[in-house]
Amino acid sequence: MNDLVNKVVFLALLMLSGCRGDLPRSEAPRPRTVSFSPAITDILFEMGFGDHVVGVTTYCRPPGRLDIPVVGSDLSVTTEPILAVAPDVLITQSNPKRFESLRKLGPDIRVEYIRIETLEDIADAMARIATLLGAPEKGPIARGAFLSGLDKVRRRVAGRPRPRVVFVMGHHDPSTAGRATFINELIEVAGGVNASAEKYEGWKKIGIESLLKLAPDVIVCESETSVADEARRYWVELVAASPHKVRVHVVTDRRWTIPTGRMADPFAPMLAGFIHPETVREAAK
Amino acid sequence: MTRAPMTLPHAVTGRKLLLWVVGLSLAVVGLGLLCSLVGQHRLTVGIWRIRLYRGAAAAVVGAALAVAGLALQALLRNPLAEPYILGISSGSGVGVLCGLALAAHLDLPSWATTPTLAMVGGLATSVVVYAISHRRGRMDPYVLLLAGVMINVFNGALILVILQFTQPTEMIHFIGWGMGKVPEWIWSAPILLIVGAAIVLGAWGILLARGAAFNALGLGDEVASSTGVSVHSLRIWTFVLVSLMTAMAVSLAGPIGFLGLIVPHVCRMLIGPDHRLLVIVSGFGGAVFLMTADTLCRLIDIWTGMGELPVGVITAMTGGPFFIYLLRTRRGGGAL
Amino acid sequence: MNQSPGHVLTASKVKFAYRPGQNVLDGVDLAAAAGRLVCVLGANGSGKTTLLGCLLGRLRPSGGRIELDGRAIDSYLPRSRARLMAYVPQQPAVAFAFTAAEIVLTGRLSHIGILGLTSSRDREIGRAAMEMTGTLDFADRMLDELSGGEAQCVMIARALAQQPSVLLLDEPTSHLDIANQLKIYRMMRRLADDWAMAVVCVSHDINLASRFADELVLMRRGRVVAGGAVAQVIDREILAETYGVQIDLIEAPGGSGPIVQAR
Repeated sequence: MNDLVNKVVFLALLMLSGCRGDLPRSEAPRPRTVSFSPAITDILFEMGFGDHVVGVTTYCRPPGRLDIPVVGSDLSVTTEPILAVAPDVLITQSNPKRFESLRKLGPDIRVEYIRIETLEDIADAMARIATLLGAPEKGPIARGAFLSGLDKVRRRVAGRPRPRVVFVMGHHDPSTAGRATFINELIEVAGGVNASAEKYEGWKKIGIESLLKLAPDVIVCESETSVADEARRYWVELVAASPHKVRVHVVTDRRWTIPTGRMADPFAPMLAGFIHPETVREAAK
Repeated sequence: MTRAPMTLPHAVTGRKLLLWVVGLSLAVVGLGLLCSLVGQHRLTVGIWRIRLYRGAAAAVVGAALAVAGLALQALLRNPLAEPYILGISSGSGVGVLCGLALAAHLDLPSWATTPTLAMVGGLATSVVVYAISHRRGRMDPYVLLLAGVMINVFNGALILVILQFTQPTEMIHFIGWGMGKVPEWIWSAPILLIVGAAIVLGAWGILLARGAAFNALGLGDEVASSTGVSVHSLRIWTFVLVSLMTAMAVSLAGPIGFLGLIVPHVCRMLIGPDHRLLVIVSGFGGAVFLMTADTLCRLIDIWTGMGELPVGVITAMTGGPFFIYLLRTRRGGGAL
Repeated sequence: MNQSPGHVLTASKVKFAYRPGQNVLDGVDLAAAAGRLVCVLGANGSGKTTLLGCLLGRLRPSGGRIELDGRAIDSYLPRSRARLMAYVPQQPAVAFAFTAAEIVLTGRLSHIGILGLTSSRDREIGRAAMEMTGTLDFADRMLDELSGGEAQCVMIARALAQQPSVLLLDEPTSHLDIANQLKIYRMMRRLADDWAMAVVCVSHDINLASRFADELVLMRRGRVVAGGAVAQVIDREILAETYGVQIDLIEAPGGSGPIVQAR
């Protein structure tokens, strides 16, 4: 009998430990913001709204802030963790319909959907986020800086012949950026032509032979830092099988493939430097 | 029911064996050269080299999986056995996924790349399965099967857990890996191919020498033991070699399915159940099968332009129906 | 039983327990000599099959000693042991689609080289074994096509292909009709007489055993009730103690020895 009582008490305590009750809320200025995508998180921090962020997803990397709770992932929207951080607004890149249950349980939370698929979208996103975060004056400034940054690069490479560029992620099983990606636009801005766009839409896996058939002049590969050297060696050796000279560049910053303000600075100028190395000295002036 | 007329009489001589080996080797080499003519790009020396390496990798992986499947079917006296029942493919998956998940957070050293992690994960799993099923100096086939199934389920759950910490982009990589693909990048890492070939040839040779023992094993453990087979030792050796070959195959090409199950059966239907020949023919059969499937993937890409399918798709979609066709025309189901 | 140097397989005071304290065999003696047929009999659960397992070297006795050709049984590797001793199971079964001839040739395993290739000599020996057991006619048939008796003969031929000195059989006729039972026992007799083999047969049929064997070993609950020449062992009291029932001994026509019948 005692044994049974012990077991029941133990189980009850175990279950009760799962009840968090009211935790002290983190001190964050209103509006308390949950970001539901890495791009949005990065933009928030770039624009100086980092303090407002009370929740991020598993894939977000808020700079210097390991304490921000993870409230979900792009794959699963779990309502409780979001409610637990008591946000005022939730910003997402994915379909707002996924947040139906959140709306029911937390009707005061504003769910804001922002599309970020093109470079133009990034500019608009910055303006919109500034408005949502209660500092609308920052919007046009950030937007303007972004767009003028892109223009600066366009001017730098204007009039020059456009080399064929292929942007890939990974080297053993690479995916390439085709049409309808912001990388596609970035290549255009940086004075190149996206060779992958001729055959592919969106991000698609590409085989060795298909890639060589695209006859690129420049290959830019985003790779993990740990295998960057290996990737470089791989591409250099591969393009040796190509009839004409191909330049290989390996980048390790994962933000190359996250659409944020960094597209305008530093990535667009860097890409221009890869595609048109002759303009690098001029740009430094 | 007498056996189909294509089977060999029970006189397996050294000369016959040698003829089979030489003939099949030539066939494989010839096929490899033929397949190297197929591809998107026009043929240059550099491209040809890339394709030859890829064909060699397909041969090595195909042979490994087929021989591993055959050895397991013989060992467990079970026609449904195939290399992944030991949990190796799911273990490799855990290894690979760990690497993908961690790579985003930590700076993993370059040796901790997908092939290495797949190998480590696969072998670690087989060690666990071995430990579970090896008790008091014996390895029980039933326990082995069940342990493999349970470990597969456990690894599957583990994979779901790790997926929570994985980036979407990495997740896509993992899914792509999970379908199985002959590594087209193998030309840049010939050492992997050499090690793989060494493992396959070594294990293949050892299993070939066990062919007669496998035959005797079909009569039951007791009869086999009294005929001179060291049943326990055979079980352990076979387990180790199968694990090694399978882990190597999965580490190079991901878990390509169906091959380890179908190829031994097809060979058995064609040349009969004598393992002395089956070990050899299965290996070559696996090589031929995967080389052909891989080339078919390239051909489909050329015809439809929709990109290369993972070869695991082809092995499943062609292997399955073909096997059913064989079953129906030869009535060779049931006994192995 | 007297155990002399002429015995090729001997068991002395063999004890075996699956779990400590539960002796399945409790001090069993047995000796098999070339040219003699020994039958082991007893009630179900008397330990006959366990004894066979120990004799084959499959089970490790917890006490006593088993010797094959003068050496301890566990000092043999399976391969060298197989050249001296062969086994015929109760039920023939094969997982692979082998023909009868292929099954017989698997018996040559302990004699062939590393690649497992059979020479013409091996095939000759297999042929002789199949001829002896009368199975040559269905050399190319599958085991499951054959009748019980034919299949059992194939298994015996397989054992003979090992060219053993000792042949151990585990209730070889338990599922056969009387004609086939007779055939098998006659075959065992011939093997002992013409092939100078030491044959040990665990039997369930006291009458056939007493008719054909040279020696009987009667067991009950892991112990030998009696062991020795047939005439000494076929005794009402001994049999009653072995089987736990009252026994009648009936004189058979033809003078081949008494028929045992449980009352």
